[in-house]
Amino acid sequence: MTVINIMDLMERMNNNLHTRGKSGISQLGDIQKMATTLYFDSANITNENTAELEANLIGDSKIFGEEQNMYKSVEGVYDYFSNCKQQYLENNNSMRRVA
Amino acid sequence: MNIVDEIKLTLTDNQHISNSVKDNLFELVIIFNNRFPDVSLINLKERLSTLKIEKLSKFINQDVSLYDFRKNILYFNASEMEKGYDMKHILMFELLNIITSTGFQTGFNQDNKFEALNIGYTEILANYLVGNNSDKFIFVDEAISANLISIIIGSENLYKSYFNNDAKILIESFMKAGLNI
Repeated sequence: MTVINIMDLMERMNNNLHTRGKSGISQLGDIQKMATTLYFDSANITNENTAELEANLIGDSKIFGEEQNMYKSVEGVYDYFSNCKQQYLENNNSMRRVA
Repeated sequence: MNIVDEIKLTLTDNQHISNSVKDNLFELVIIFNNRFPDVSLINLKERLSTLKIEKLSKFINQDVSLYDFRKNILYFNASEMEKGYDMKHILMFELLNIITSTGFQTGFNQDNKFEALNIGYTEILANYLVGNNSDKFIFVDEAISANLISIIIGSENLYKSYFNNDAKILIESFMKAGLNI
């Protein structure tokens, strides 16, 4: 399991909030990678349940049972999550093979 | 008299806010109360009695709006407002900040440790309550991250922590989800 400190994630999110627009550089990619890893870790992802988890992830844009229209415009984010998931699985599988 | 009627009277008595803004705020209070009838509006009523609305200099802050919970002043950045934001969404975002503000913090943002997460969750709630009819979004990064975190720890825990100004609920939820603090 990847060890990520949640307070470190909070600090990076706060830094992103304050520096965005000034430096012109968003750290969202790194933050999403951390948050996505937390998600997959907490969901105990395996090769067998990835399709279900991915469906959940996309379905979870429907917070409170209603679709959040803002996420329609950021569908690319979910492609990004899919890539992260693939990397996560590959890393996990190679770790299992080494073990 | 129920709390919503009391809020209507409170808004009427507030001489610092124009009638059109009072009407807009009250409409949003109704929407909020219909969706979240369990959330207390007593704090909101007190804050609305002395709320002021002022212009924000773009040289001080480039956001379209800002709520100063210590001074109980809602600022709007006139030059940003011209850029096509959905002002109903913006006003709901700030109304949520007013509802969840104490003299010390907003929502669960204790000691500013959870500032971005709090903003992201506020954005998700504002979007849920009134949507966003503009192509311009505020705090998308934070909303996406807050959405992911709500999946991990349970959105009901974020909700409880947010409306009770209790960061302890949030931290305990992180720990229950097996995250390192």
